[in-house]
Amino acid sequence: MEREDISGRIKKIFPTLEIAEKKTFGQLHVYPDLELENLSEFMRFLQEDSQLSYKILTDITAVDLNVISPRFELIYLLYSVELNHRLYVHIKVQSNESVPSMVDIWASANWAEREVYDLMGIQFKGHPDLRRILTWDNFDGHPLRKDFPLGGWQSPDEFDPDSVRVDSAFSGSGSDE
Amino acid sequence: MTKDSTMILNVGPHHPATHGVLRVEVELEGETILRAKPHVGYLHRGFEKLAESRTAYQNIPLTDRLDYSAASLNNLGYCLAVENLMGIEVPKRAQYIRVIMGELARIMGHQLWLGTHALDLGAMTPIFYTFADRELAMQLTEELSGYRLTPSFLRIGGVSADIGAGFLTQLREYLDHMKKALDTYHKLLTDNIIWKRRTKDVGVITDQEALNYGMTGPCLRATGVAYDIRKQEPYSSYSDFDFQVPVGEKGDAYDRYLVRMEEFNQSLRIIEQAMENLPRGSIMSDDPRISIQDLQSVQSCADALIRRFKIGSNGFELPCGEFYQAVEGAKGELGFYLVGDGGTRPYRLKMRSPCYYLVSALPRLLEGHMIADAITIIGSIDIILGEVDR
Amino acid sequence: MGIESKLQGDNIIVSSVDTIVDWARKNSLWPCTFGLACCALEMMATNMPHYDMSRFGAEVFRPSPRQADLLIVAGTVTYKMAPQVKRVYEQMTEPKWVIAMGACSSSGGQFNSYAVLQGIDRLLPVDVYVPGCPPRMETLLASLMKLQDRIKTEKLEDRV
Repeated sequence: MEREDISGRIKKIFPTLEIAEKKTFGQLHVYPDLELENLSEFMRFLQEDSQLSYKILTDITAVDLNVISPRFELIYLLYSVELNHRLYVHIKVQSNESVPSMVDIWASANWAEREVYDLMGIQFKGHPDLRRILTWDNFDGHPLRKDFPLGGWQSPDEFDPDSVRVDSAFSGSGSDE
Repeated sequence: MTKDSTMILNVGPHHPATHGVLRVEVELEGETILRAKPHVGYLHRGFEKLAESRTAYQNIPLTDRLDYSAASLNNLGYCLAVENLMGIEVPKRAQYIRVIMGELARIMGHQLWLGTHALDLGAMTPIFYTFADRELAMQLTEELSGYRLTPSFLRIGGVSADIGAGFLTQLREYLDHMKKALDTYHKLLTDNIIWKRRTKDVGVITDQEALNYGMTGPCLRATGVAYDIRKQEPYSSYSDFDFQVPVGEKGDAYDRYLVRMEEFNQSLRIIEQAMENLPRGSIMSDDPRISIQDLQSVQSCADALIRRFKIGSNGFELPCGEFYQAVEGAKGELGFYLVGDGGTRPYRLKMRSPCYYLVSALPRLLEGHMIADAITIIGSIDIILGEVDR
Repeated sequence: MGIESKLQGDNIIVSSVDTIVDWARKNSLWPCTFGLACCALEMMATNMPHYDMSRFGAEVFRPSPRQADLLIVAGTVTYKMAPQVKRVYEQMTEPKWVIAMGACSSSGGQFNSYAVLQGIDRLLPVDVYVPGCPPRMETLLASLMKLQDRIKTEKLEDRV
């Protein structure tokens, strides 16, 4: 299957879906205009379709657009080994919206979504274990947002090592002892 | 809640065999691991946030510290992302020099892996050999860039220094030495019965599961999937070189070992070809948006002075747009997603880390194994925490 | 041969307790493996054939803090890791010394961000700061020798 027919194939299976596409620098970015509840169905099609077969979810990135609406842009980077093609799916997310989790489709979405939640604050519905991953559990704020200062809210002189809390991953077992 | 007969144990973050500050919480029944949950973030330095407040040039030393065992490959990924976003053409000579530095870095990263992985399993000898050979590669890196471990050698549009004839002679000696050294490494471990007993059938993962977990690089190739970005989406003149991509069968720790051992060989082949066919030319693009004039013309021409000052202090503007550049790092697919907004600082720089997804597959890999095999598995997937945590 | 030929017979060496204890301590510093980031690779390489650190007595890198008396903090200390560094330091028995290796543990290095502790001396008493990113091996060896010179001048009552 030729790479040029990829958007044709998507449009054939989802004829009512508005898909804006941008081919910049030879990379195919799609902007599907769909409700967030239907996102899982679209992504599952991309993974399971025998002609497309985007088996690897390379990464999930989020960009803080720093406007009222839509606040964030979520980008799914997909790769198909058979076609040797990368697809970039862009989704706009509002400030308090939560996105359905892709963990059932790609296992790599587990940690990718945890990172987006930790650093950007986007909630993922249906994620089995949505907690912070790179910062500590009682960290205040979401660092990669544009309104978060580079040095954090606390001055380096005020650091107290007892204030850092990292909980155990096995629930009910208390703190990390 | 855990049953009465199980125990929760913390492996790390301060542990001799976790190669950095990785913490794995395991639930043990006797010596068998029932469940494992890794905790990362103990080396999270805020790389992505820092990158948004620095110019594109100033980000190059920052990228060095990501996968610090094979530092030049990070530089390569980042510089290519910026160059492709801006549409800058890198001269052929610079591309070949980048390939030489990148493959040297790959060899250094694999040597570190081999020494520490063998040390964890009780083999004390290989680490002395690999580190002594690593010294030679670091001396070569120092010869060219001035630094041993984190060279920051690449620049946007080219490289920072040219290769002289003296360097090529030393590189030729290094290649001759490494070919013999590889035989030594093989003699120490490949047919060693203890090594085989400890690594065969340990940490097996199928190719479909590996793809699903986002694993790339030698760990994915050990399962049988021949995915190497240097072949699939060639960058920086890799299509000029003749090399093979080693692929395993079973996806266990022994296959991962064999794949990386063969990658040593292929990297040496690439360096040899790059060295012999090194084209003449400049080492830096003369695109007016990024080129910094040499001191001679800066002292005589006012425009050159202004441009050098402006580019050096304020940085050059990144166009509006986004680009994702993936390179084959030592551990897998190393990617940089760069979003520019017309200003001199990147609006967003996301780094796709191969080791992050390898660590996320640890719960699947460690389940059902003994605690001693956990050390084998963590060593065989070859993680560098600087890359996981950024 | 050598010194034994001069010391034959019923000989007595007179010295002060401080001198003997300091001499023993400085020539057998056992570091604790505390590599956090890139500096850890240079610290490991210092122990390897080319720049052998065991010449100075610091050969045995003990993973357990109970068996070590020198903590070389090699690498960036993040806020998340800082409580663990403090804990390992507190578990070490006296006498103990700390070398802050590299720019990151001395002062935060190039990472002045929300997650990085700007210098390990905000938590622990540091004896020697080693500049560099990462420092050269010779610099680390020189810092070890500087620490040894410092130990030579210590008195027992300082450590009681």
